[in-house]
Order: sequence, then C-alpha cells, then structure tokens
Amino acid sequence: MTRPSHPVGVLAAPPEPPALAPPLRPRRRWGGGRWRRFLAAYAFLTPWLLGLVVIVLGPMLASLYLSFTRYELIGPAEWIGLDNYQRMLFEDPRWLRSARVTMIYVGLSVPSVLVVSLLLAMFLDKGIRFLSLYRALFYIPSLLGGSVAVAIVWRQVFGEKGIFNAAIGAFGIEHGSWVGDPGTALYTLVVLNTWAFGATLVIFLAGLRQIPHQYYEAATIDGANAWHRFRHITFPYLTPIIFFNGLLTTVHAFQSFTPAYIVSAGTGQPADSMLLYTLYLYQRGFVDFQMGYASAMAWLLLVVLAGITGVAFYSARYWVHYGEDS
Amino acid sequence: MSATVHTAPHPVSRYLFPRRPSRSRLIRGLSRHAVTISLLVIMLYPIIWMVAASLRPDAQVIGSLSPVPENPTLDNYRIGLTPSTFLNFPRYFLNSFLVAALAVAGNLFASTLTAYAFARLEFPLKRVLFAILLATLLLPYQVTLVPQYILFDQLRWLNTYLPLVVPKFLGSEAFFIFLTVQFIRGLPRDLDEAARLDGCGEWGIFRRIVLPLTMPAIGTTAMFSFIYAWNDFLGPTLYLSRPELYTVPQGLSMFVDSTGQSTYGALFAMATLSVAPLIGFFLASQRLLTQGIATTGLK
Amino acid sequence: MVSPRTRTLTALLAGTAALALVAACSGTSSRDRQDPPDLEGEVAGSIDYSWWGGPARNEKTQAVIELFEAAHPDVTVNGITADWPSYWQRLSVQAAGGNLPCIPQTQNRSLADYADRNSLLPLDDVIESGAIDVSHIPPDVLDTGRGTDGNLYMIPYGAAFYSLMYNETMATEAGLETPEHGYDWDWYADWVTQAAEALPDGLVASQLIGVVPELFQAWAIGQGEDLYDDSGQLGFSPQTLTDFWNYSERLRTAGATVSAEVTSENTGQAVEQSDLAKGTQMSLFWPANALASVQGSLDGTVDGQTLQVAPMPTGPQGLGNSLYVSGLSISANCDNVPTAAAFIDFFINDPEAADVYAADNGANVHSENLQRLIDNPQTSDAKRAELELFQYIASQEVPAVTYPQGYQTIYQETFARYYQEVAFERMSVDEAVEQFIAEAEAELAN
Repeated sequence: MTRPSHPVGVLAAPPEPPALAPPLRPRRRWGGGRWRRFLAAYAFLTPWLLGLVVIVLGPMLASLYLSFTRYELIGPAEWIGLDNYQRMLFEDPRWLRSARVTMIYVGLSVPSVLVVSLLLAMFLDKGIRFLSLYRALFYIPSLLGGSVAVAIVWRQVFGEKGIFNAAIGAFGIEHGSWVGDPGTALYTLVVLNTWAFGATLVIFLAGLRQIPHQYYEAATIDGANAWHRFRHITFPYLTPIIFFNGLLTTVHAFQSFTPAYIVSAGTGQPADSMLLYTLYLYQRGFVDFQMGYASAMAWLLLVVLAGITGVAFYSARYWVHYGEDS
Repeated sequence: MSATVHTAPHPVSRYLFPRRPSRSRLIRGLSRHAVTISLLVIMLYPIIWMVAASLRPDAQVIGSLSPVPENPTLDNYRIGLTPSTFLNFPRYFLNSFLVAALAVAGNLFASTLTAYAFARLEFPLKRVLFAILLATLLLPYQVTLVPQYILFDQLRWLNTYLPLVVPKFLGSEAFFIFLTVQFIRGLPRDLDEAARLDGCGEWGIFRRIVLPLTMPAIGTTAMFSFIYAWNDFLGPTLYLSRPELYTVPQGLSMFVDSTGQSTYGALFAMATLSVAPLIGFFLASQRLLTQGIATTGLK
Repeated sequence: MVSPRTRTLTALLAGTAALALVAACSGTSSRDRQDPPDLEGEVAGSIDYSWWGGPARNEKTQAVIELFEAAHPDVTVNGITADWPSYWQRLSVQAAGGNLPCIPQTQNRSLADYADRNSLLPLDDVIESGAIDVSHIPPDVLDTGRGTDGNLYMIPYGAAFYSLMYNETMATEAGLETPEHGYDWDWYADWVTQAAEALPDGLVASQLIGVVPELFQAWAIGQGEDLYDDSGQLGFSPQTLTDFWNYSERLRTAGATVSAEVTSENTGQAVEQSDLAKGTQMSLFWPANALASVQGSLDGTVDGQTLQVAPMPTGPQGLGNSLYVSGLSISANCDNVPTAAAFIDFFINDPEAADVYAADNGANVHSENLQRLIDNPQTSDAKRAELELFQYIASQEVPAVTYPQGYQTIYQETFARYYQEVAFERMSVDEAVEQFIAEAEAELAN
C-alpha cells in the first residue's frame, strides 16, 4: 500500500498504541455484554434516531400525504387526489419553466465545477510552493458561494454598470445588463456556482496525491504523453472521487436557493429566467401558501433525484474503478 | 541526448534533495506561480472589489473597477452599523453569532455521538441505518420543508430560533456525521479494546479515548457548521418575521430591499463585515481543516 | 433475531409521527386563537407598526411615531418597513404564521387577501367604543376599508393615485410641449417619441409602460373597463390588453422608453433613486404623493429643474385615474389593541401629525387636515400641486372598484411577468395576453 507522499497531518495520525498482552479469558460470543453494547449503541444513536423520525421520515411521509391534498395552512387539508400532480405536469407553464431552468442550471453547473476543479487540481498537483496557501485561497469562494453578501455583489458585478462590463469593456466588448436580460441571467448563476468550486478542488487534490507515482514514471518511460497518462492512470484512479463529487455537486445544485432569490430579487425574474425549482417551490408554498402543491413539487423532485442517483450508481459499474490499494 | 532515465518530477524530492534549479525549471516554476496567482486574483476579484467599494465614499461606490479605493473612508461602516428603526446590524450580528454557535454545539453533539456508534459499535440494523444515513445525504431538503414548517407552527416555535437550532442537535446535518464516521474508522481500535478490557464502559471510551483523538474532525465540523449556519438564509426567512430576531443574511436582504442605489456603500460595508469572520476563521485554522476533509473523504 | 420486529417498530414510529402531524394539521393552528379583542386596557406597552416606502417616507413616519410617543410616554412603537413588492410578500408570510405586526398598513387593493382570511381585526366595535374617531372621513372613502363581509378592516388615511410626473425644465429646453389636463394616450405617445429625438444623449423620455399594472388600469378605465368587474371577475376585454401591450411595444422599439433589461434590474428601487430623480429621465408615471420627495432628490443632484404633475391620460370614456386608498389595520393576533387603536386614532386625526407626515402616502382623507395642508403656506409647491390634483380627480367621479383576493399575485407578479416575456421578445403580444388571462382566471377560480 502506498503512503501518500505528503504529510497528511500530524494530528490525524493517532499515537502508536502500546503492545498488548492477549486477554486472559476468551470473551464469550453470546454474552450479556453484547446486549449491553447494543443498548449502549442505541443510546448513542438516540438523538439521530429521534431526528430521523421526527424531522426527516415523519415530514417526508407527511409531505407525501399533503401532496394529494389542498392545504393552505388555514383550515384542514382537503383530499384532492392527483390534482396537484396533474396541474403541475400539464397545466402549469411556470412549473415547466422552472423545471427547464433547473435542468439547464444543473446540467451546466455540475460539469463545469468538476472540469474546472479537476483541471486546477492537476495543475497544482505538479508541485508548487505555497500549495497549502493557494489551496486555502482558492477555497474561500466556496465558503461564500451560498451567502447573501456574495449574491448581492454578484447582482452588482453583472449589472449594466457593473465591473464585469467595465472589465470586458477594456477589451472593447460592450454589453448591457447580464442579470436584467433573460437570455443571460441564468448563466450568471451558473458562473456563481462554478466560482465556488473550492470543496471539490480540495477533494480532487487529495485524490491526486494518492495516485502512486511509479505508475506515472513507468508510463513516461514507455513513452506515454500527457493525455495518455491522464486517460490511463489519473482518470481511472479518480473515478470514485469524480463519482462522489459529481453526485454531491448535483444534489447541491438542485437545492440551490439563496443566489437565485437574491440575484432575481425574490421573483425569478426577468421573465422567470432565474426561477429555479426551489425558488418556485418557495413561492408556491410560502408566499401563496399552496402547501399541498408545494409538497407535490417536492416529491416529484425527490423522485427525479432518486432516478438520477439510481442511474448514476448503475452506470458506476461501467466506469468507476475502485482501486486495490487503500 | 543523454541516456538518463527521465523521471517525472516528484514533489517531495524537491524539498528533500534541493539542488540549484536549472534555468528552464526556474522559469517553469515562476510561470506556474504566475498563472496560479492570476487565476486567484480573477477568482477573488469580486470579494476584493466589494471590500474596496465598501471603503469608497458613497457616491463613488458603483462604477469604479479598481481594487484600491481612491478616497478611503470608514463612513459606510459607521452608517451601516448605526442602528436605525429599520435596520440594526449590530443586533443582527449578535443574533447570527448566537444561532451559529448553537448550531455548532448541536452538530458536534449529534455527530460525535452518532459517529461513535457507527464507527465503533455493533448493533442490529447497523447496515440498514448506515444506508439510511447515506441516503439522507442525497435527500433534497425541499421534501421535508413544508411539513417541518407546519410542525414548528404547531409547536408554536415560529419566530424563535428553535427551528433553526434544535434539528442540529438531532443530527439533521448528516454530512458531519458521515465525516466524523469516516474519521473515527481510521483510528486504530487497540486503545479502546484495551480500555474495554479494563472494564471501561462505552461512554468512558467515547469520552476519554475516541473523542480527544477525533479533534481534527471536530474542528472541521465546528468550522463548517458555523459557516453554514452563518450563511443560512432560507431558514431564517421562513421562521423569523420579527426584525429584532433577524440574522445577518436577512438584514442584508432587507437592506437591499429598502434602499436604493445610493446607499450601496453601507450595504457593501455590512456585506464585507458579514464575510470577514468566515474568511478569518478559515484562514486561521486552515491546516486543520483541509486535512480533515482530505483524509476523511476517501476511506 | 430482532430485526423484523425492530424494522416494523421503526416503520410504526415513522407512521405515527406522520399521522400525528397530519392530524394536527386538520385541527387548530396558531391562527385560531379566538380570544375576543381586549378593548379595555390602558394605552401602554409596545406595538409593532409596519409600512412600505422609501427613505423619505420612513423619516416622516418616524417623526409621527415620535410625536405619539411624546404624548404617551409609556408607549413604544416599533417601526418596520420594506419596499412595495417585498412588503406584501413579507406580510403574507406573517399572516400565515399568525405573526402580523399589531398595525399592518394595508391598501384597498390587497385588503381582501387578509380580511377574508381572518388575519385582521374587524374594527366596527373599536370605532363604536370611541377609541378611533372617523367622523372626518367621508363615508364612501371609509367604505373602501370594508371586506367582502361588510366589516370594516382598514381605517383609510391616504388616497393615492397615479399621475404623470415630468421634468418640465427638460421638456421645454428640448422644445416640447407639456401635458395639459385631458391629454390622451396618443398625445403621450407622440410626446415621448418626439422627446426621444429631441433630448440629448444619455437622457431617456419615458419608463417602460407595459410592465406597470396601474398604467394598464388607467388604460382600461379610459375604455370604460377596469381590472375587475362587480362580480369579482376580470373586468377587461382581451382586445384592451392587446392594444395596451402593443402600444407599449411601439414606444419601446422606437427607443422612447427605458430598456427592458434596465427596468428589470431596477425592480423595487425607491423612487427617490429613480432616473427621474437623478435628472436623466423626462417622465415617469408614479403615485403623485412622491412628487415632493422626488423634487427634493432632484434638487440635490441638479439645479433648477422643476417637476410637474399631471393626471393620467384620458380615454374615450373619460379620465383614467383611480384611487388607491391606504390605511391602517389591526391584526387579529395583536396583543395590545388599546394602544394600537390609540395610535391609529392619533395618526388619522392629529393635526400636528398630519402636518409632519405631509400626505406622504396619498392625500389625507381627513377632510379638515387636507384643507389645512393645502392652505398652509409652508406646504411645498409640489405637495400642494398634488393635493389640488387630488381634489380635481375626486371631482371627476372616478369609479370605485372592490378588489377581490389575489390582486398582488395576478397584477403585481403575473401581469409583469408576461409583459417581460413580450418585452424580451420571447413571446408575441397575442400569446402573452391569452396566457395571462388564462392564468389570471385560474387564479381567481382558486
């Protein structure tokens, strides 16, 4: 097993345990101690289990139920069967719009986050002084990506008189407002999401570190060029991480709310070009108080996401290589 | 050409066996730094610009591209921090701090306890429950949002911080549990085995042996849960409608709403103050952090 | 092995939690606290009062609050404010949560959404008890504060109306005429199209017309229609809307108006920060009560430019104005009704308060205070112009319409959204009209 070639962290490596004498008496396999351990385990798990039932599973089932009702917070929930779903899929052009906007957003964000962070990780991995400092600095945007402050700045930056236009104006390119134009507004959000790639960068960096260097050396001796080295060594080794990163980035993109809300002033405008699914759900559920409809929207999202995850796991068989070491 | 075997540069070797860099290597190294620094500058520019804008006099805030404020002034900070009837940023900062601190406490509580069970103990349904834990990582929050709101409404917890904080104590942020589980799995079991033999109960082992060794993961959890809670906008927007309870993100959003173009200076000042603590804490503890992430994601 | 049983147990637990939740939903909620309002009680303690507006109005309101607090030292009034679109979004969230401030400011157009949902306290008893004196408010104006059940939910204080604010100096310098009472939409179109040529670069003639629902209302009223009819259904014909949006498109494509992108970027902007107030726009349709503060902002930016105000354009059926009456309500969840009532009474009637507030949100409906303001030599010319315009409009017998639920959703959001589609050339006017009407009718049916 190859050790990572950089110090992983003094604190992460626990001290060497003292040598132990073997136990004097073999433990019984089915003793009373086992039951005690089960109880202890469940005791440790109590907060999480409680939360699981009351805050996750219970609400999930409740929202499934609500999705078949008409419920506006005042008065009882009225059963209406599949009406919400029917309205959503067939009678609500805004729903279609928000679904399409979200798919475009996810479809653009996820690859760009993965590609940008992988390229940068590979670039930085070649060896560079102050790597940890650079890595930390590149990480900063991801700390702020979901914040209101950055969204407000973003709205300014890509406005008609914003600094982005000033910057490209230096190259002679003129443009109007990026956030005010429905053709381009969504892309400013994609850029924002990509900008916050720090977490995936760090994970890729760590993954690249684990690739045994003798493979590269051997390949170079055999005459492989950079592309070959990438395709046959780097990529296969990284596939578990790409998978992990990709899945998390996708789920995260589907849940994006704050940037869309702030940059579009809460409405998804102009012309619903920034009406992400979460934003539309929020509007329907918490501004119009059509909570049954919002629940239906949420469950549909869950089904779609479960489908995507399922397909991803299934396809993983074909392209994700789990390494023999570590 | 010499017959020397050409080896790919090994990062560590450069430090172990420093030799006078050849010219081309120096150029390559420098150009690598140059590229990296340019990328960094471009990436961090929105933040740099925001800070610079906050230091400019109000009339010049929008429109200037430069990262250096021409007539630096702290006026915007003064104006932004002065409580008025409608905005009270010092209050919002306190509120945010309170909520974030409680969130950290909650996440530490839940994640260490739960992770210990998954990483160290055997019990029936362990695999099922762990699968459920992983599944909650992939669960979109939208599907629990509405009923949670209704639940908190029924409990009369609206307009308090309880809906924002209590779920953390119950393990609602599975990511930190997962992180901590992976970390604890990496710790050798010998110490706890020894302690068990000595008759130490699970709680004792947890408290005295495992917990101290889990500090990196605890540090990571604390840092990130502080950041998530500090930046959380949807939660406070849903649950808090009395302005004296507002958190900083809500305050910023209200600020944008209730003022026009010409008070962007104060807005950027408050925005800068809202991100400064995050960047500060992060840079100060970054070594601990990135190791925490790097080692736990891959086991 | 325990697993199957434990598994069932877990499922049962989850199911029970869900059932409990659902059962709770069908039962009481925090809104159903039906304690009768406590009308007895001293005027003390603290109350929250929320309103909409920009910085200038916030200052004036704060001044009124301070006057009240000076007269009642035991009382604290907490002011909460937001801009127009955000205000209504927040109010609806608070209403659903049973967390409305004691005194939410309301308006006749949106009253039904709150009154019909039992979020507001019926005020007839409060008036009967003498806590609020409404004797100086004309009865038909007072009626604009009634809900569909006939109870009074809002005490009106200001009647606002849309008007044409324009920079007279800019217009005359460019060699253009100025609007006179009785001008119509065609005249306006010619005026701004000429202005687009005549004005120097960097100045724009008009705002984007089609995205403002109040302008459509003026158009419709001029055609003898309105946003709603007496039965609470849509009160205009598709042709009317088509003509209106086509009109706006003609002006937009001729370059006489602000672009769609910039309009969208400036959503929610306070009027004191608008291009009219900065001296870069010639005309703006806006509630006339802002005239004085916009003039103030303009004076701070450029010298010697005067703003004037004219009524809305007329159509074949007459003047296109309508009155938007704002007032104060008491929320159903208010825990300090006596103090709230005292504050409302003060706000409506106190002469000093009226002077300080200077009709910032519409002409006083209190007839004596209105006359005081007009007669007061210290009232600015701009404000007097607005108040006198109000008297003119009131004399023209503008129609009063009852607004059913959903004004916000249909006209503030949906209407604007569909026009945006047209203005960004993603949809034709005919398609937008058809889809808007369909969506509006669906919304009304719900």
